[in-house]
Amino acid sequence: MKILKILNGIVALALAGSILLFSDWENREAKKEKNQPIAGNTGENAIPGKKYTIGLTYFGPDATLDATLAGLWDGLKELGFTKDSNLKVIAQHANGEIGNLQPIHLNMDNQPVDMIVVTSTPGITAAISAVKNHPMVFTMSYTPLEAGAGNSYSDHLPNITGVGSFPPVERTFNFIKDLFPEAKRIGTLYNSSEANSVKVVKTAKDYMKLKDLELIETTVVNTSEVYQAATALCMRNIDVMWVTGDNTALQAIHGIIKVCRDNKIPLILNDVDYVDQGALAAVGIGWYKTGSQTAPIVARVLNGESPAGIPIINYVEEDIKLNFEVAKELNITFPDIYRSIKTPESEKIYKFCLAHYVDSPNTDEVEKGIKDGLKNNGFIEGKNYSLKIFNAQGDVSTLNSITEVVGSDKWDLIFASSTPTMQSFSKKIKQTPIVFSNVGDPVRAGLGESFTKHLSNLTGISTMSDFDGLVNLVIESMPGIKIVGTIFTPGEINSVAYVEGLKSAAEKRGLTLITVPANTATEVADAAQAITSRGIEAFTQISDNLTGSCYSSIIRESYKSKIPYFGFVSDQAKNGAVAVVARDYYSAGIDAVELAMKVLNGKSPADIPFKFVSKTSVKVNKEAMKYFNISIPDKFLNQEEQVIKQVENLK
Amino acid sequence: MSLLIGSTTIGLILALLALGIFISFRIFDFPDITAEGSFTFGAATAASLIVAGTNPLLASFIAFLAGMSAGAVTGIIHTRFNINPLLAGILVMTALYSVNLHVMGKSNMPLLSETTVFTWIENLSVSFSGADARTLILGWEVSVKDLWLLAFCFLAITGFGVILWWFFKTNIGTAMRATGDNDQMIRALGVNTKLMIIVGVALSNGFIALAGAMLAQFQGFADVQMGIGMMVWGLASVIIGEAIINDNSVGFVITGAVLGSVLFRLLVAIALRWGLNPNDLKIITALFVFIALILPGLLKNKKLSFKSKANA
Repeated sequence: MKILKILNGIVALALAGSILLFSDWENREAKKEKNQPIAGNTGENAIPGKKYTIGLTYFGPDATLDATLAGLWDGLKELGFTKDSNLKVIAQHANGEIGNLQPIHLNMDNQPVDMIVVTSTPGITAAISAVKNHPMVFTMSYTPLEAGAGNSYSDHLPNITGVGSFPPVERTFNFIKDLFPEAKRIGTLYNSSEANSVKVVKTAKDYMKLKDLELIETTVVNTSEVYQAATALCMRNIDVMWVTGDNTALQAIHGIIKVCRDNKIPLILNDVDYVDQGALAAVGIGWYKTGSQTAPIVARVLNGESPAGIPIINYVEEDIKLNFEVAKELNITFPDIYRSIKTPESEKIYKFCLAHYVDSPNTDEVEKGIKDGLKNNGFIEGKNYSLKIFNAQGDVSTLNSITEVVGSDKWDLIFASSTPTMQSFSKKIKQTPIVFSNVGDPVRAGLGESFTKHLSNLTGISTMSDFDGLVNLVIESMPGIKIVGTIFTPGEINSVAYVEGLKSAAEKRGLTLITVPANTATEVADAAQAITSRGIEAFTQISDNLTGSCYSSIIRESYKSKIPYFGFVSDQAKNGAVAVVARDYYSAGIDAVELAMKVLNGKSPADIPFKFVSKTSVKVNKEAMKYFNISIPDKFLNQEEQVIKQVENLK
Repeated sequence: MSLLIGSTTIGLILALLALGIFISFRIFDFPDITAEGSFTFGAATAASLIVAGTNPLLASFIAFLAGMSAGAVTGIIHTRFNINPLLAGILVMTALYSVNLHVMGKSNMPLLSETTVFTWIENLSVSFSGADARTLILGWEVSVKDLWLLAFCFLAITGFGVILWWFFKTNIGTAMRATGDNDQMIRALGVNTKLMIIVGVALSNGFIALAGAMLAQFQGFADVQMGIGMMVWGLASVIIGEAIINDNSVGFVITGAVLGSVLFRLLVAIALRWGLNPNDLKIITALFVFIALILPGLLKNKKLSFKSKANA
């Protein structure tokens, strides 16, 4: 019986299959995945074919506004109002000065708009007196009633309604107390003509009495006074600086941050969007959600409903954000209750996995960042979480197997590094939340239409390089430069995207970018020689997987031909590059964990926009600067944290 | 269970690759490296066509033809210019890298929101049993969609296997096999062996390109580097298949190649599932393949105490 020979094969398959099934035993009585339908918006939808115009007024460009507006536009888009398509937006801002608010609202009232969206509390005050002809909807305001919008949420002026968000003041001071049990004197500064700040500070004072804290306050009139006021406050022996969402103070937040850092005073804010810039922490409001809650109201008013009949709502999504870097500088450890995620399920062991496509220095850094990020948030491996790591080692069929393995198991969250991993995962895994990092251009990779509108179970960190930053540095360090060059790898999607990004950044500033392709490690050296003969005055070398691992041969060529090398990877500075503007892959890991924490706290990944990695650092090599006779302007050097002193035998 | 189903599905898709490799390596004894290029070529062709709105079945068929043309070029370079088969393969594979970049216009083409052959199958599953239908198999809950995909791949691969088996029984197929076994003899019988080699290598690469096209649709993207390492895996599948089936007739070798491919994927899945240090993945895979190769021989020795038969 020849046919029996196949039995051998069947037996082998059955054996392998049962081993696999055996390892899968604990998933046997698998529970049904919960499928929670996302609650639909109740606001009215856009009438097809109709064009709408919104007037938008704001205090000045800032991070909080960006978050709120992102939420607002996304919310409106869901209702059929697409910005720049059937929705025209006429925007005006007051340059961060209260005095300008009145004129811009008067002006806006004479514009051909259907309605006006007013932001910030002082904005509401100005709008109420200035706008007579248009209905208004406000958002991003702590205290709309104090601003004069009405007596209560239902009894308000007939031409204005909106969403108020009073900050979690009590929680802020509980947080400060938990962090600094010894603290007595809390300093703050605000603009006393902002009703929001006055109300918050009053609420704070009342609560502080209970907590045995003393508030040392200073008021300012405009942004130019902020720096001085902050310096004065620090002289007054305060333990902690607290700044609430005062528009004037936030416009000059850099000054406050600098003063606090210089005096080693911890800075606590109420706006999470500013923490990255150097505050210790913020206990505040997730403004994106506030923005999206405003969208249905805006939609109703756009469709002709009078604001009079729409009650004001108060909406606060509390959010705590910590800055571990600043904490390290100040030698502070966050208490466990804040480090660990906010809704700790006791005894729960979180199950995470992390998948890489290839081994490279960048993926190693990302992995380190993710592990440290988890540690910063109170996760201890083996105790309350497990992290399983996969690596396809550059092989697509293995990647598919990894996708199956990951897809068939249950995870609290999946981390994915690099573009192919993410593409493969997003195709197969639809339920488990995925947070990616180390993906150059997530939109081009097909993960979403934009940074805010993307596949619903994933979000993550884009590590697209800071091209404008590097081009700017090159131009300012080498005045008169005309031609720069880079080697790229046509076979890598990131590489091609980087070249395009660099090209448009260079062309914007009048530089010509010469590119030479290389496909294998051996071709990189040849390509470097070829490109030097094409008249380039500097290398502006992008970092893809290939040139990222073979950059030393390019740097060697750069020294031979006396053409300076600028790059995007921090390591390259100490190995002979004149300067680098580096996205920090370690931070890309940390940032991914930050998004992961939001997801674990119950926020849907769909509501978390993709983000660029938060940290870009400029590093210079003084020896190389001398060798190439280049002086890099001081303003870049101030950012630079690490001065590298030696060049390793490259000359 | 869903892991078993998923891995088997991938194994069946990659069985197309194993069939292609089987034709060139086993039938013609032609060490054809074109595979790594034509695999991507198929993926790139199908992906670009699908993005441009072509019917995915048609796109896959064109990918098959594209692979055949690549294989034909290798065959012609070898037979007309007397270039060593390895070198001929290297030449075409290298050239295909640039071709693939041109075909896609970039190095990576997402298909996440496109309609592919597999989307059809999923839609079919939805229309029969609802969107998120799940069923119990031996106590494991599995997605009905995945079962449909598995069934489709199984039927497709069975179909291709039968066609191939039938083809090698026809006159031209027999002549091809003879070309590989004893080309002097068959030339004496008046068969143009050069033409046979060209057609054979073309057919082989057609299957490989089809495997690439299918994998791209399954995983949701085509990437210019996805062919790297594929030839080795395909070859490993064929050899595992031969080792476990241990019969030289065409039908059995074809079945063996398919079984080998699926078994190989299951072994990789086991290695991954056990959560070994990721750096050790490849060495564990190699070890598993080694065991799969020697185990049938060992068992046979023990059971039947026959003289050991060396396997290729």
